[in-house]
Amino acid sequence: MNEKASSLKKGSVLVVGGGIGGMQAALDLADSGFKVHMVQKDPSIGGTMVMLDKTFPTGDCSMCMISPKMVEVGRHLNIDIHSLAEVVSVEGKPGDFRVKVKCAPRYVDPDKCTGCGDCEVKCPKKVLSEFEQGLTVRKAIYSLFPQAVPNTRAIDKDNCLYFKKGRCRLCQKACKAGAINFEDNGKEIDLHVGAIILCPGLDRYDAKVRGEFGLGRWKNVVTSIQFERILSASGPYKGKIKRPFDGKHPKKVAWIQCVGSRDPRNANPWCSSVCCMYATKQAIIAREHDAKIEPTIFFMDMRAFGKDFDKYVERAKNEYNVRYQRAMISTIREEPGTGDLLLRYAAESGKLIDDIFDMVVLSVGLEPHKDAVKFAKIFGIDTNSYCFPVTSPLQPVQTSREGVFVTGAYQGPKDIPETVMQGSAVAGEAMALLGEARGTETIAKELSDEKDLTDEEVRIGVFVCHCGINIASTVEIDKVFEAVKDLSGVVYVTDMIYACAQDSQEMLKQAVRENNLNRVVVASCTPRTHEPLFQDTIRDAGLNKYLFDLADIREQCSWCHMGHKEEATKKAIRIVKMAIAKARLLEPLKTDTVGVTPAAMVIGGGIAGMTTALSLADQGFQVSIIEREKELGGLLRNLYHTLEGNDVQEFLKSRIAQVQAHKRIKVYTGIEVKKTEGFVGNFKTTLTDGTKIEHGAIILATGGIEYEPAEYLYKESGHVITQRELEKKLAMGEKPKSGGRFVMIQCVGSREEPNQYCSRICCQDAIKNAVAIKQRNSEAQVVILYRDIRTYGLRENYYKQARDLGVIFVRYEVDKKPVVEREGERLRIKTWDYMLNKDLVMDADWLVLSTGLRPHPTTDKIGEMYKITRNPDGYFLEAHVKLRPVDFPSEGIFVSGLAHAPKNLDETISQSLAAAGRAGTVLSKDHLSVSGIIAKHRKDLCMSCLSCFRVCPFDSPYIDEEGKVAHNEVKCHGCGICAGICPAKAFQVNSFRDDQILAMIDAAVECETVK
Amino acid sequence: MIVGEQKPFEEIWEMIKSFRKVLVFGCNTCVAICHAGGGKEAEILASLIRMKAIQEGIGMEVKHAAIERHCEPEFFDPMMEDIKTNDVVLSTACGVGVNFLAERIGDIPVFPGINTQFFGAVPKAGIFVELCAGCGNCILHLTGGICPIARCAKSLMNGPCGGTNKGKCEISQDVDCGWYLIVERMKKLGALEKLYEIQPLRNWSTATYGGPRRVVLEHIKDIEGQ
Amino acid sequence: MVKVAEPGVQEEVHSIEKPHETPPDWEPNILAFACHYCAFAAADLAGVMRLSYPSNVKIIRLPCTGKLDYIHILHAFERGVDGIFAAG
Repeated sequence: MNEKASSLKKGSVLVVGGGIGGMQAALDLADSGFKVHMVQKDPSIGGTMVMLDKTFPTGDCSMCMISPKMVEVGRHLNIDIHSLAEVVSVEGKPGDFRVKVKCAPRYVDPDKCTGCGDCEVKCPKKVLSEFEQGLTVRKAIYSLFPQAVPNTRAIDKDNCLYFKKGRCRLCQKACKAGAINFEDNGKEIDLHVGAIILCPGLDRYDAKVRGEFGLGRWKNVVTSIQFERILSASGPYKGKIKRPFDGKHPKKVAWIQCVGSRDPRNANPWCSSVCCMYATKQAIIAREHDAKIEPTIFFMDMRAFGKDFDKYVERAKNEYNVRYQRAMISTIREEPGTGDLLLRYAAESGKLIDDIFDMVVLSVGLEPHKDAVKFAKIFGIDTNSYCFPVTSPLQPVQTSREGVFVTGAYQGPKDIPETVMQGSAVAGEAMALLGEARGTETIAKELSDEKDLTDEEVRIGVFVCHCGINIASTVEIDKVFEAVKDLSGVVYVTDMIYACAQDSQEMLKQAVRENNLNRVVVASCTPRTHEPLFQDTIRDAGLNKYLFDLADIREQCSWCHMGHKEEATKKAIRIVKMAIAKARLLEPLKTDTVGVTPAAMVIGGGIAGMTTALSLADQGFQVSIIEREKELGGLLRNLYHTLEGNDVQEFLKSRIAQVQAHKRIKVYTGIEVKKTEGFVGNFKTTLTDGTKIEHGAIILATGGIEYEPAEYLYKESGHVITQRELEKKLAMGEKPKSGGRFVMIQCVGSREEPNQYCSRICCQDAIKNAVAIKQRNSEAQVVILYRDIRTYGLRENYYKQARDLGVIFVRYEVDKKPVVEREGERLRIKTWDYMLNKDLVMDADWLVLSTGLRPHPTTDKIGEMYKITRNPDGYFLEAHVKLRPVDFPSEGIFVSGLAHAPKNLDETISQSLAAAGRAGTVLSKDHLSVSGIIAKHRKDLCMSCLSCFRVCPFDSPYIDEEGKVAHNEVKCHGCGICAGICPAKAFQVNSFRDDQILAMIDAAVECETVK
Repeated sequence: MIVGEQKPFEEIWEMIKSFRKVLVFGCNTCVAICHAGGGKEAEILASLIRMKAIQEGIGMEVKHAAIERHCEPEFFDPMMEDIKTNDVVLSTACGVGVNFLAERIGDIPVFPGINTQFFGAVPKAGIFVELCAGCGNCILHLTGGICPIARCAKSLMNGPCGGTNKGKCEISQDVDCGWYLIVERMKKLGALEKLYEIQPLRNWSTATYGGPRRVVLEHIKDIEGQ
Repeated sequence: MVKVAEPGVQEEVHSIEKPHETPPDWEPNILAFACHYCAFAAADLAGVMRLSYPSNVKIIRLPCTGKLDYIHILHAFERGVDGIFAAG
């Protein structure tokens, strides 16, 4: 794309917002040769996801997933985080933007601060914690949450006693690093970037506006985000579910859905997309915390439209006894003096019921930030009437201004995986825009030669950190010093006030050189955040970075044994001894590298495959598309319009033309893949016609098919058709007759065993066609028989439009499905009406079936070929449901489109761009380095029993040309499951070898060698 | 491959508790693959025995070792002196290994640590199934490659019997009827009519009913003069 | 450590726990094997939140609890560890 302009394009990208979407975009870009500036208005990155306790539908801990990503972003050589910062102006054009950023003063110098937190302890001023949603307090000098990145405290000027009264400065006295700077004036920086990515996320609806729910008045009414914090083990109640009113454990807990959503009169008209699922999750997790809790969820439509969501709701009902009550609550009243809450609702029978609950959770919706209009103006992008940026379903992450992309909930309400997908998608778009400028602004570290350790005896240096007083006030450092100084192999011991401070790093290097140390043990904090720092330092001193071990005597000792000096010191000594025992056996590890073929193979020539191919080709890579059918286009060939009215056939035609004209794309039609050999970066594929292709990445875009119904007289009567067939009729110009009646049945072949999943597209298809009928002839009748209308996000508008146009919606339940009979030429449909509480019988000219989607029949075969698991419904199972939605455990293979799960066109396009972004991170590298921490395989011990081959989640053991088990170290992640299961002990994981673990066990008890 | 299963620990303990120097001796071929008696399992078993001895207040020295195969002398002969320093050898090899070592070790007892089960295949990780009975007179060409001796509970040559039940055997609903499998397989091969041929009474002398078996290669017969 | 898969009888030289009466002030010595990605992170979080727990627990970090081998557990018990906590 635009090769001649390449010299003018910048190789850097501005990411505005540090939530999970922004982090994903930043990491993908920085990992593939672009410099990233991340602007974040809070003192820490993390966004909304860090506030969540667990995530649906897997129940994974949210912080456990996001924290390593935050650390990665924080440490990335090519990502600059500008926190407490806002963009004030943007000028220029795609490839060349000039951006002014204003950084508010932090009053703490990040270069000096070690993040020890001593200042916070001393600060006398307590402020309600925003992060904990006002359920507890923080200090005026604070960190947003314990795992904050950057880990530099910030002073909240509005609450600081010094700033308000001119006296205090206790933090300054407490800070041994001298990092407090009350004279900080903030700064303005000018950035020069090639593309801009907007991911500021969304705000939550302020439910206090709806006085009838009593939020802020009745103490036991909390918002869903407050309840997340209540559930969190690190939250205000330490994971105990308590009522704010009296601290009592609640028994009956109610969730009220759609607070602030789907309510055009009082609040926001859109559906917030995530509340049905998070309420279900909260109910499940609450029950897991306390089995006595009886959860009730009051809802309008259960919108469990995502992958495996319906199964999750079924589990909530059947295994956790969560009661789902279809009713809208209009008011909440407190029973005076008790804190209990009275809810009145209309039951299915129409009877009014008063029910008392111990606690009520308001499932608050999502809405754009208050300053959304100003924000959009700064970036010069158009917004719709709700202040969301204008995008098109065909270009879901492109704003009205070229070169400015949007991702995440700001684009429209969405959950974590879709946000992550869009994060990778915008990265893909930015890579395609700036392809040629890749690598022009990034830096790489120059490294000196490593010291040769052959024949050297073990010389360990031990560095014990005080961490200010964090460790030293609980652990007696001198005793640790004494206890380890005479251990075998230890030649040097010292202590440091802050081992991680810049000057300490220099001291450490000097100590290594002067004492000829060849193993280093630092006793300080957790290896999860600090190991890479010390490893870099000893590498600078000429040591292989794996000759290092970190003894965690802070998080796992001083901080949890405060006030128990003697025990804590004893334990700290033990921990350091264990690290020394391991250090004696550490060996330098070589990290090999392999080359990368800068080309991709895309299996499937539908819109998913083509979108990915075009993006990758624009990024500068060769792409082969393998399509088994004679022509490109896939399922989209049968689609004429989107719900929003875009002309799909026109779009498809132009896409196919673009693909066929692209000089870097080669299309193979009527051909399939015969076999693929190799691994990430180095695949070799043979096609059924004998063609051989070499490529570095694989994209599986094998698509899906539409379910062909066997029910409701389909194929028996010519008047029973599918939505797709109706769409075609309408597209061909058919005008519905006045008085003609169309009856549509939803969920045909979906949401019931054995296909217990939502096909996601059918509600919109039905509404799209219903609106089209009504617009062509308002005298035609349309009745939609549905189970739940799932027009999530901004699609809700069209549901409203359909109702306004007079489309009739009648709900049915799966155990009382509509019955269709033939009455001569006409069809007669009988269904139970829950509003009237009686059978409804209607005649229809056309019965339209909303049929679901199924995985493509080739999915299983392809899955077996690439060893990729399918979920129970037959769709490919991604590497991680939340954070790796387009990856697979086997590296270098990505998924996009319906092969992953049913989804709409805009979502397919987003995911396809994401696959291109992810593949771009692999293909842009000259070589891939193999991690040092991998399993080493000894072929001489191996008996090829295949135990490892069968359990490895990354597919790294394989059967070689000789028919024996061999091990591909490039694919290995070093988890060591192979080592655990191998009956021959032919596997040992570097730095976690059996002898090292056994030595640590020995050191954990009294079996220590003294020199 | 030969499939075995470790004996219950109590049974092993009863065997060896009166000895003071115990060697747990693993075999790194078949029984290692089925996670029953390789070097790794020998090490685990030795550790368990040591702890049991401490609990029982018995002074016992327990070592462990393993070799490639217990069924060939060259592998353990070099270690024989070391092995003989023990009071007992608990072999986790298959029965073949136990026999073979016992024959050669002299007056030290060799006890079995595992129950040797059958010749098996590994259809999936951790699952071992019997497919051949080693009867010494193979008729798999007549039965579509499915052995009626090993896979029919009655080892019928002209099945199935009246106990076949919707593809399952009368002994258990979890056991496939071998003859049902044979019929289905022969259908697929288009060779069902072959099953109408009645198989004559079988000569079982090639199986263990004819006494211990022995195979000697032709060229060896010449050398050994047998 | 001699690799058990190699020929040669392994010599055990380490002291092995002797049976003895439980002293009245006895506290169990507990060893935890924790997955780097989850349980070890949880132990960190416990510290960050200043949650107090007895000091007789020491943690050995593993790349994944799937790496844990029977022999690690048995070795620890033989050396006198009283309880193992495997978390991942």
